[in-house]
Amino acid sequence: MSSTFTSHHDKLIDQAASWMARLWSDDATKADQLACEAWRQAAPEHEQAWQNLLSVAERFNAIPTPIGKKALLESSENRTSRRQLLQWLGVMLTSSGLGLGISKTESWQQAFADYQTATGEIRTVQLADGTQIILNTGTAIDVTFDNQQRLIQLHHGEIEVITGHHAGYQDHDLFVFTTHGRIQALGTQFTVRQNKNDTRVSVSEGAVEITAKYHPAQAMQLQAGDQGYFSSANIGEMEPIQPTVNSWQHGVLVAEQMRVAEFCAELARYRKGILRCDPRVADLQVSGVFSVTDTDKALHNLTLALPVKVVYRTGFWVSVEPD
Amino acid sequence: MSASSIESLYKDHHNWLYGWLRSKLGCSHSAADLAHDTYLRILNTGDVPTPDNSRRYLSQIAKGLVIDLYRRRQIEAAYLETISHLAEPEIPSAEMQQIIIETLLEIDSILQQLPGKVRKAFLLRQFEGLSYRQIAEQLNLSVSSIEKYIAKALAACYRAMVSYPL
Repeated sequence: MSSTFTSHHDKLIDQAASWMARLWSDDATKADQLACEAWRQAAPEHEQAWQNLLSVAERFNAIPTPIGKKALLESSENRTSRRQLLQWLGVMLTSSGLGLGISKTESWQQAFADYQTATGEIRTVQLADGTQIILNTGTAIDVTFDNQQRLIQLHHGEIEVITGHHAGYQDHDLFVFTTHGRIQALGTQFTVRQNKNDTRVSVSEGAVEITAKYHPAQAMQLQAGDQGYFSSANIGEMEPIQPTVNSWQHGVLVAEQMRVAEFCAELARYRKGILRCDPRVADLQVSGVFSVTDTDKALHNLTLALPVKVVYRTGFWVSVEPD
Repeated sequence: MSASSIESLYKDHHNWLYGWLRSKLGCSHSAADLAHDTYLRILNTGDVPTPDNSRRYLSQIAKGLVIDLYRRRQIEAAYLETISHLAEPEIPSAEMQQIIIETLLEIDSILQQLPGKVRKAFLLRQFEGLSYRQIAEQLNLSVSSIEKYIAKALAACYRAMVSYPL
């Protein structure tokens, strides 16, 4: 591409942009409009540049105003600048090289306060506001605190939230977002589990309000002892909490006449690799307390309770079959 | 770029880069992803640094990616928060959500290259629906400057978003 061509091309873009900015003005006149049209008709490449610019403007217009306002306008006012971020990263690079512990700036602590557990791991974390979160196996969350609210994004897995009330955070609403919607804490202790198609919320203390993502007008309150499910589209029936819902926090799976298929699916969450349940034993029922921290032992105990055997193809590929 | 140089860049420094990213992000998933993306970017550009420059170069690319990720999270959080306040008919569908977030990120990175006042003037018109006069008052500038700023922002968006030639 020759430099003459580039500058010609650039000039056309600038001209098209100037015309559009002129017509957007509150004092644009009929004469402006006619002059713009004359410019467009003067050459096919003028018209092409104009059409291209219109398509750019359409992409902006596809963004709902409140979303654009919040994401681009408001956040650009109080966000950390790119330069500040680079400085911070530079400082951290040098200091970590020297082994110095320099604390992160507040916004970084907020933005990158991510926690996760590996398969089989259960972990408790404490957030800046005193909130305690217990992460079950294979769970990932992001935590974002700003000066109005506390947002916990549950990417996958299951968490128990015991809300904290440290000074400075009492007025900040606490929300857990899942793929399917959000849960607002109303001074409380509750468990959120994100399944493939829905989110389950069980409340042990206080209350929460749940809202499905595509049904925000319809919220439902759950009180202590309640358990509810919701998908992106709607909120299901409320039911009493299962007393064993949080047994994972003690490293056990409590089964009460649980189908073996369900038992295997549950145990598989704590186990690397594939745990297959043979359809011939899927409908057998089992009751008992099983370890989730030692899944091999749990499987062995299953064989003691039921006429099944556990076949290890490899350590990572196990199947439960009729004995 | 020779295959062996990228290979040794990977062998000698991948663990270091991963560890560095993990200490920044506090998340091993994201750290692994970004370390991967860093090498991918080097593969695509074909620029392999000289051995004594390797770590500086890797961390420079990784920093850019960390900032992009940081910004993506901010925008996603703003999106989720906003739709939680919207009435149902206004809530975009799941497919639209992806498009909107990608467009927001694209616009954001374009506008970041522009001077603060240009960016602000453009956003106030687009998302607050203010007239040039109102923007001029708010930013304490002349109305004619605002029109120039809007033109400048439009031209920048054109250059970044339109890839085919005239």
